[in-house]
Amino acid sequence: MRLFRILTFKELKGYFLTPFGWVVLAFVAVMQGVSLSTAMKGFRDTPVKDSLVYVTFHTPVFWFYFLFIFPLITMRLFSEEERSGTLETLLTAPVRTWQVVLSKYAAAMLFYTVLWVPAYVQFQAFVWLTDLPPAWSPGSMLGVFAILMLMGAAFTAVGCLASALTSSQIIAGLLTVGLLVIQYFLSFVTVIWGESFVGAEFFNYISSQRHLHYFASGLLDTRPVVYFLSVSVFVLFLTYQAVDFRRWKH
Amino acid sequence: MSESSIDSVNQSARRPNRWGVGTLSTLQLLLLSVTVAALNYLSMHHYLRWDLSRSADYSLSPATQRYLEGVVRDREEPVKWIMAYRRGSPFYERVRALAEEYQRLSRGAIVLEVVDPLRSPDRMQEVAAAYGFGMVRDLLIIDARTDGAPPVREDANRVRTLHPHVRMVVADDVAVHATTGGVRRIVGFRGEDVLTAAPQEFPRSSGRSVTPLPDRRVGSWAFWRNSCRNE
Repeated sequence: MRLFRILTFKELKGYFLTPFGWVVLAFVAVMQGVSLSTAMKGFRDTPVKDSLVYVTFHTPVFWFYFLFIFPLITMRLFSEEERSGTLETLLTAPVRTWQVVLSKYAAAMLFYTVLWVPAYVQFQAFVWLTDLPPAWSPGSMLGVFAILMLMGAAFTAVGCLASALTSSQIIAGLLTVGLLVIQYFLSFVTVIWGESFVGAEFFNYISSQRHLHYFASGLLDTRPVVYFLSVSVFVLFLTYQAVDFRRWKH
Repeated sequence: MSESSIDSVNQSARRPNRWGVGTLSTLQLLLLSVTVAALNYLSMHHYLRWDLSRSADYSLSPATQRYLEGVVRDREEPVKWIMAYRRGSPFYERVRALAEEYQRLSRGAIVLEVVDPLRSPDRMQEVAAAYGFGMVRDLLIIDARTDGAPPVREDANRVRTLHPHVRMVVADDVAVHATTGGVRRIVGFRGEDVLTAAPQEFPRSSGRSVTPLPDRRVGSWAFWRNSCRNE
């Protein structure tokens, strides 16, 4: 456990003691601000039946920046170490492969969690500055952050896998974006083709947009919890195998 | 260097058994894949919900839950619900979430089918033909027939009579309207009241008449689809 902690702190330093991490944090904070401003403009122009939290996370700009967070925070995790040759050194050290994989994943998840702190502060700032009661229910706020964490867990794992498969950060980033965009567009299958076919239930089950919709409305459900966490475990296991392969391939 | 230390060096430099490691990894991967698939299959069909919305919009009242436990679950054959709503309908998500909650709490006594008339026109035509209506509005069909009779009967005067155990809840029924300044607005949602009340009328029901529309073009599928496109 001590080794795991040391490795995790080393990775966290890579996020917080370099300009890279702060640039990503600033980018996400600005984009969250744009989403919130767009939502508030919508509230000002027309009567809206949904909560401010719901509308903020259903603006077109949300998915645009959300899917780009993951390649940014994961693309260098393994590929950079592979390219510079430090991964081989790390793997010959007395550490287990799972400690390497989980420490990088934990650091990425911690950094991802920090990325949402400005969003929470912005919502609180709305209440402080306008002196109005919150334009959302506690349930919808809880639901949104819960589903963001769940999606983040799975998507960060996908980014780790992409990074473990190649020594090029660019390719890792593109691979992550590609996989996440495919996952995103799978949500549209039932929108485009309806639900009168055998696999419709499956496509609803894996639909990130649908889960975000219900969680943001305050309706929490165990299905996305199981889905995203099981995908995280499965993809992390694939990452473990991809990294471990380097130990015994030669 | 002694003989034993040379043996030790040779032993530590032994090449890994790649076939063994590879086979084990493949086996682990297969087992994990099966476990994840099984877990998600179970999760898809058995799940819990917590309604934390401001007015508990997606929850059923204790009275409805008692009704589902007492009456619906005692049935030998499941009640079929067909939700024929356009995705763009203002109440699509609310009605769907409620219908799914009915299905979940009934524990198999209610089988829900969701049909988007615009995306699944073939299935919609089948439903419209089976239940003998021209699909002009979003509606939810509650079919609790157990006798195998057709859902709709037509007599010599071409008057169609719906089977006593079939109900149709149109989208307007689940909305509460109010007229202010000459403009009719939706001010509320009463989906649960309507959806719970409709099947409770079954035993006392003597049938419901549906008069065919004089202009068959208006009741036709093509007209309905075009009218939706024009909205």
